[in-house]
Amino acid sequence: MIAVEEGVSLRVGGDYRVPLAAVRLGGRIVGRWAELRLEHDFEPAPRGTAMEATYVFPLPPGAVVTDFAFSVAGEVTRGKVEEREKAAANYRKAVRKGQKAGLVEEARPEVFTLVLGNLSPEAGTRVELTLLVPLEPREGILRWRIPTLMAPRYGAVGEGAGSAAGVPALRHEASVPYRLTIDLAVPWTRGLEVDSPSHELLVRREGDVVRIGFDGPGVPLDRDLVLDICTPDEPVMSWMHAESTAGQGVLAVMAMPDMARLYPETAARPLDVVFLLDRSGSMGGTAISEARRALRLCLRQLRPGDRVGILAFDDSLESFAKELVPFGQDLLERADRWIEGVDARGGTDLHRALEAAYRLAPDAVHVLLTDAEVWGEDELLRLVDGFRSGGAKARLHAFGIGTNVVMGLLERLARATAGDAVGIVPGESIDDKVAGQFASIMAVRLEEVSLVLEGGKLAETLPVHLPPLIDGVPWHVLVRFKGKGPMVLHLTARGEAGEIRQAFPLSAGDDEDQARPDLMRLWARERVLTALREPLDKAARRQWSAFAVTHQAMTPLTSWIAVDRKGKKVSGHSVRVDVPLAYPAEWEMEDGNPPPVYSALTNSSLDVAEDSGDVLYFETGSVPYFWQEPPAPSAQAAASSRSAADWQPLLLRQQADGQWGDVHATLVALVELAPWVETEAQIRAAFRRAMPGLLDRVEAGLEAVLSRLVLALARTLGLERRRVGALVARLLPPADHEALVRRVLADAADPDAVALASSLPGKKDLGGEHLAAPLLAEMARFLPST
Amino acid sequence: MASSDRVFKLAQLAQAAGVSPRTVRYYIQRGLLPAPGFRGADTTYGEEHLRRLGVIRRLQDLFWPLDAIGRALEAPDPRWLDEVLAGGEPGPPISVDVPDKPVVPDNGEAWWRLVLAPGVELHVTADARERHASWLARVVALGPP
Repeated sequence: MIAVEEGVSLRVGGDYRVPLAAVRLGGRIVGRWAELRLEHDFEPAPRGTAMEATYVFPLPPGAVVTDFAFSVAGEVTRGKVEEREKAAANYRKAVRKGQKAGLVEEARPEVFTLVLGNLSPEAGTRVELTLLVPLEPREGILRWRIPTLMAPRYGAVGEGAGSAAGVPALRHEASVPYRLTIDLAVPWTRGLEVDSPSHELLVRREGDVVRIGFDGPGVPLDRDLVLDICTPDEPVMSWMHAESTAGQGVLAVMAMPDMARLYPETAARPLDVVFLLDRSGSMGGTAISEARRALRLCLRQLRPGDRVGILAFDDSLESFAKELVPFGQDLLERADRWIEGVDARGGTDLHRALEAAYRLAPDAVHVLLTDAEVWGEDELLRLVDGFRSGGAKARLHAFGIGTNVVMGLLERLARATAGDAVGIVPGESIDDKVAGQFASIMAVRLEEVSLVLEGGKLAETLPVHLPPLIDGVPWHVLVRFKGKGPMVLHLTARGEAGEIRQAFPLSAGDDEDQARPDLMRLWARERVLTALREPLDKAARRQWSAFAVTHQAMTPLTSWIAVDRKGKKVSGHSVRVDVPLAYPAEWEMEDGNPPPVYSALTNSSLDVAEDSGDVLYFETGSVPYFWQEPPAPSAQAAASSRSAADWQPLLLRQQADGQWGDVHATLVALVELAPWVETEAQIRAAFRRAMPGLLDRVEAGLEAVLSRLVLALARTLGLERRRVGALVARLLPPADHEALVRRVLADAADPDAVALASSLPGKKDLGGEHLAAPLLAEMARFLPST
Repeated sequence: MASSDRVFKLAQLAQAAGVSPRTVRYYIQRGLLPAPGFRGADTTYGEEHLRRLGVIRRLQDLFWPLDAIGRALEAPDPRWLDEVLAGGEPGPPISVDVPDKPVVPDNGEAWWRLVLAPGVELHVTADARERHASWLARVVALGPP
């Protein structure tokens, strides 16, 4: 067992295979919705282990998880939605009993964690999530961006749900073994075209559907999957779907307003525009040059009389000018030169940049060019909400640039400010995207919007304040209503430019797409997310999580849990494997590692350190994943079966001071390198370089961490204490021997630990009597008394 | 010519030009494309729209301001359009800089100094600016004084 406490398994690295074998996305597009099935196939666990696998993955913006199940050899275990902490505790309880169990949590907006406990050793485990995703076609063209990767992001994770079950630090690797395949069906219509600027597709017609797959075997999960589905004959129109049970229901209203006739003959009034150019490390490579080009094209959409501000931001902020500058040829030339001097570096302090834009021009149009790889989404929304409630009228129009873009965040920010968000995929024609965005910026807007339900009662809308109608920008609202039978929803929008009215007849039952049972969950989820925009006290949180459980809606307050109570139980020593993630596609790698330009992006843990019942997990950053079970059959066999390619990249990242960053990073690196310490002179040299600095930097309270390093060494060497002692003697300068022993071992109560301690150099000065009891109790559990 | 008789629906035109329908509508609003002949569901666009969309793209590649593209397309020389479409050098855009006030030299007469392109300036007296307003507007889109 490597449990520190009953039922708690520790992270492992190194010698276990990545348990995730494949990811599949299937499903169909029906009207304005996608019904998806996301499958993750896990490998059987090695015999004699109770393996827990964790995986962090994104889902498309707006998606609601409508079902969760896992199956082993055809035996299906279905899940249900429970209150978040309760689900985590139940999961942990089941795992302790040896039951197979799975838990899906929404750790951050659009970021989900899967924990799968007691993976079956007999057969592979398939995890299946069913999703409902609202789609946003514009004028017959559906641009659908499906994220596949949780990329490294900048900044503190911030407030938010996190994972009650203690899900891992994000770990990215140059190559991962699992791949993505897709099988999506779209109803065939005349003139239908399917294309992708991100992937090679295989599109074939089968009867009345068109199936979309990849050309060739699966693809790496290292970039967003972008689909363009065009149905040119489709007119500009509006849609809605309804669910009605017992005289109550939810409508999803989507309107594509065509307000061409409302455009004034005279030129529109002058604009103030503040551009925010993300120059952070994650924009390195093609993204920054595309952003520069997009910005230069944006400037050329302006007219005499308009005024311009430009801010370039990473974790610092640079401004083109202190005040807004009038548009003109002179400005274009100066701005071009300034923009060309902006290159990628540093972290992404979007919070500070938005704040600066509001201070510079609180009522202007803010045009943001970014990949939005930042944490703290809720704080950003709150910042914008705060400025708006203070009277600022700025609208955010965002360009999401790069192969991995957090479009969900940009869409939420745009929606909160009645702006718009569009994505640019590398290689796409930028002028068209810029024209589309400026069409939104200059579009006719009707601010006063009202809805009347004829033949029924309108109970509530989401968003609560109806957003303005903007020409050419999809407008959608969820409506909860009471009533039965045929109804008509009347939409009226008024503004300076004029007025439009639209009526949506609702005749339930004549269209199968109108009966959509999962719409209720979508509404419940949106309702909870709306409530969470405000700070809530404990009672209110409980109330909302109970509400979400009633509707079986997954939210940041609720999770999906599935427990196999009947199947064969699993026993063995506990190990936990965090599935590593690929690096984003556009990152330029050097020797299999990201260069320093990306260093500001944090691989933060999604954990929140809070009370989660009997589950003991590490607080963020307190202990890195590095437990290494005694590898089977032996460490040396494992080491010899791996090549220098496994450790060389890590070795190259050792800094001049012998460290790998902070104490934790260094310890992780050393443990990763431990299997080769006896056979490779280079690795021993690396240890020797690392040790003095490490000992200097180990602060009070971290002795346990250091002791684990020694224990990890012991395990890779097959626990031969004499060899450990001899090795430590070779690795450490003699002056540090005593310091190490002092730090590793304190009071003794356990014979095994004392025995190990006695093998270390420097022991004679200390004896066993000072060994710390808690440390030794822990050590005793790790060391089998052989 | 048969090809100049081609008509397109909005989506077809957009596809042929490699832009989105929204972009086409935006360029019409900005005055870069003529409004289509019909309105409503039967609205059609012609070969001229397609040609102009090609020119707009080419000039944007050269970072021409949109208003300058609009002026160039107001009364275009067909040969110039063909040249631009064929990838030829269109020359610098006519600039948009109108100073806040005229320059008043020692002799007292006020001159407006208009930068048309880097290294090309047009000097106009206040009187001439008024007298030739519509002509000037065609040249540099000054608008009424």
